[in-house]
Amino acid sequence: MTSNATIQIQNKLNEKNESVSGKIFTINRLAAMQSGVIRVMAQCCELDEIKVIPLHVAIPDHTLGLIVEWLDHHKPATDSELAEDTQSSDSYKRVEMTEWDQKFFDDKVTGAGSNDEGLLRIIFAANYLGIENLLDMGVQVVANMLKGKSAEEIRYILKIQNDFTPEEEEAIRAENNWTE
Amino acid sequence: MSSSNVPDSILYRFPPEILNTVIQLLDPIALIALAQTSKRLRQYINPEDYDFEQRLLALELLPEFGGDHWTSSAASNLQDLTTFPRYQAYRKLHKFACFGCGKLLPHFMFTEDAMYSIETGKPHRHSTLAMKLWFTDWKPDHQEPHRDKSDRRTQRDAYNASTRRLEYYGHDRLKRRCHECTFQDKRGEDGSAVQVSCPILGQRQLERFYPGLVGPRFSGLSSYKWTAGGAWPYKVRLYSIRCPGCEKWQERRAFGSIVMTLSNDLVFDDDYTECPECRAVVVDQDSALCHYCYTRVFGRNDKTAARFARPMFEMLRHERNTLFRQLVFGWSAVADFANWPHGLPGNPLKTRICHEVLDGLSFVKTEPDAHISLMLVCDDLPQPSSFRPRMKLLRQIMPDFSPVRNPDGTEARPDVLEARGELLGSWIPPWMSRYELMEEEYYACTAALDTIQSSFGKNPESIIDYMLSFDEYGRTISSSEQCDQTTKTAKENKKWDSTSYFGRIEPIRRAEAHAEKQQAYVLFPFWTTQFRVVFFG
Repeated sequence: MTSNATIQIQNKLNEKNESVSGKIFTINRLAAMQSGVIRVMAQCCELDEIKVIPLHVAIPDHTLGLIVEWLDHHKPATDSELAEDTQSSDSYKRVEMTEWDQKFFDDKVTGAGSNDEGLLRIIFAANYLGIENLLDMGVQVVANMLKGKSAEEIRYILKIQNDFTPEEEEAIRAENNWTE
Repeated sequence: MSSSNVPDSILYRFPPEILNTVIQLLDPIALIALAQTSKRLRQYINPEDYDFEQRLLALELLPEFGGDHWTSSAASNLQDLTTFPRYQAYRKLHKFACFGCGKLLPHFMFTEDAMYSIETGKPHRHSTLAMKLWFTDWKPDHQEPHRDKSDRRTQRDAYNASTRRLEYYGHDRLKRRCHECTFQDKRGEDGSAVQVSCPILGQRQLERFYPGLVGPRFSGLSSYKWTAGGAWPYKVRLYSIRCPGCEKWQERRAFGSIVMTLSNDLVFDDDYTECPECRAVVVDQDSALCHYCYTRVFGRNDKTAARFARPMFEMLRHERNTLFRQLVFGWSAVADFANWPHGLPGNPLKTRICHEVLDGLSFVKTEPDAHISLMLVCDDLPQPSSFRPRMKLLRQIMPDFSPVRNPDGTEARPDVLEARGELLGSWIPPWMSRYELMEEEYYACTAALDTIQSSFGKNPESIIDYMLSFDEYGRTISSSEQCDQTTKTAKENKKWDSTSYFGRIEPIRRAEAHAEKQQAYVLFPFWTTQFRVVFFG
């Protein structure tokens, strides 16, 4: 099979939700193989036999479109490169985010940092589809949102409700009393 | 993790494995901050002492607290702190973590060793230790425990295994303790531990203690200690003292006269200054009141101003004498050079120096093989301005030592070459290069002394305000405040009990009176008006 071969992914249809319309996305085969789920399906049966890979979890079309775009951008050049990328390793490998990735998350996923839902969907979808690098990047974006922030700022950014009692808050203030 | 009424944060909606990954990507500072956002996250993260230690380790490396390890020596790092604005900026910026009380504190709360040694100094930003703090090593409770001492062993192992210089520093930062923690630890053993040594600065004490007293240019002039073996950069060891009144540590300039005596034991390990102060111990702790507390107790009056001004006056006089000694030292060094008995005889330039430049100087002997010994009593010495013609002449002669070859192209005589090498390796060139500056500063000190002396007693308020401006904690007492009102406030603040300082004013007053009566050894004991310098030719 050539590196230009494509496959199709069909989103699950959810009649109650307009954003999950059972849309079919066409994607390069090597790019799609970055997904653990699709890779397993491909190993189980010949891809030629299944023209369209159906997803069993409803992912909003917009999110799936973004994932396809991301997979396309990170498409490995050859099968060996794909094998190298997807080789399981015991040690955790931190993913380097490129400028394109940063822009992808800033502009398209979080929408200038205001849309947590978009980020959440991408992370969930990447988790379901087994796209480790995308999942790592999503998680890293969340972590970066928290770094250098105070507890109040984190509450505001992630919409966390402060449910501490006054006594507990006093104890927390004491914990932060690390400077004169 | 789910919530009922409020819209759930995305963190609550993550499955545990994703939430764990998010948390593990945080740095130790963000980890604690996240644990302080809600009960759920606190329970989930469950921060322990180890995590707070890690946060402190990471905090002191932040740029806003001074960043990582400085590559140059401690003395040169602190060299720029001679003037007050720069010092204030430094004090605000540079903080060091104490792992006893868990706080970031300014430099005067630590010994130089605690801040800059290989063990407890800050690590280099590219070292393993610093990079390790980019991410927390938090792990969920059900996974194998991580917060044990093995991690500290790892840090030490990294240090031991490393051959890279940047890995040298900071492998035992957790041992760093501030003065107060050390004081509290040792209190049971030795209650007199109120004074500890602080960073050594290669700078003049006067500008450090009383910035701006003799002008801004003064700070550029580094001082030297002149000994028989040569001249060495004069290191000033700063001290922090714990005021028994407010129980706060401050640099010594925030204190007035302190009743001290010399100890036979080397209480403070000090190889730098050899000053008596280094072996001095505070006899009466109650006399070691900071300016603020002293003013609180005794009020703003002439006596307080006099007490505050006395060390300033002494230090200024000492500084002037030091400058004079530096000026005179050079002339002795020139005589030493000209009379060096081991060189080849008959060097015409040396003969010129002996006969034209040094002739008539009362405190140098111009005979060969002379053992030059001089006793200087500052008040009896001539004015430095009287040496100016000699310096002019010396500057005319000195360039003749420079050429390696004669004007006709032949190589200079061996004795001339020898004298040239001797000259270039001596202290004479640096002394000559800064001679005018030293002389200028000498007269600036003299003028400042005269000004203080003439205005003494006329304007005590300004002296008290000036001294209170050195308070590290920004405390001040206005002229309208009375000491009785202050003690009343202390009562209201429940500080008034039999053990607190303000409950023991009378013993302090007695100690003050005793000190004056007995002419006790007081603050700045090494600033004497007379000094003795011996040179060996």
